[in-house]
Amino acid sequence: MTRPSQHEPEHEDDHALAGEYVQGTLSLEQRKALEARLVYEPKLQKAVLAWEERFLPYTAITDPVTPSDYLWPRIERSLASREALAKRAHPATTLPPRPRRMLHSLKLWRGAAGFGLAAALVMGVMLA
Amino acid sequence: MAEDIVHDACLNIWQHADSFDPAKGSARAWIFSVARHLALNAIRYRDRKITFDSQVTTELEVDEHFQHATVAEDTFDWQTGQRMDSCLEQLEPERRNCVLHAYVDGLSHAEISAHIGAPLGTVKAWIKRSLLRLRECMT
Repeated sequence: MTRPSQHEPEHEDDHALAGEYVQGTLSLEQRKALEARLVYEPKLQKAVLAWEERFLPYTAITDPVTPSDYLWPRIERSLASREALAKRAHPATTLPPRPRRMLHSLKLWRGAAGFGLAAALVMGVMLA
Repeated sequence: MAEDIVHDACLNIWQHADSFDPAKGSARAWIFSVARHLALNAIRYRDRKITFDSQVTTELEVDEHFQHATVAEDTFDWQTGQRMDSCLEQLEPERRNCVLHAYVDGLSHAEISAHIGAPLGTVKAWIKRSLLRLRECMT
């Protein structure tokens, strides 16, 4: 005899848990436990992604914070040194596949364009 | 600290850009989520010593029907013109405030409880119930 209704609360709990993860109310331990589950549970992954999309518009409520002039050069330096390290580690590789794929992902870069401001506004408020 | 996280988020996004899947959501949502979750992990790491185990909530504290003496008003100007607005609108203002204090301000249950002056268990129950109602409304 199958009684799917018996499994409903658990299912519902996972949706609430995913929501709390995205919202940010979980403790560090709870966050880590959920992140570990995400790797193996596509349903939970889907639930988290759905919450990310639902809440995204509300990031607009915060006041933007402009990062300092030092931040972008610092990011560029870190990226450059990372690339240099990667080249040293794999000198035989002629063209690493990732940069090609990334440069062609127009959708990604359209999203990334507003990133400096977007990220700063979220973090500026949360870490104030 | 905020700039450290933006820095780490940019590196993270650069390094994991090939794992971005447009079928699973927008790039904007993905980029935001990478940055947000780095920030949240940092905040909760910083908080871990000062907040008690959030699992320990006595039954007495869990009172979803807690009421403030005066009618709560909206803390946020939260209308964004998105579909979820109408779902948020269906929540009682104090519950809507809890949901937004968490998402927008990054406050923990305990911080929200202190901020709005409602018992911790009430805040937890309100948020969980609100999330389930929002999901039901959005699907």
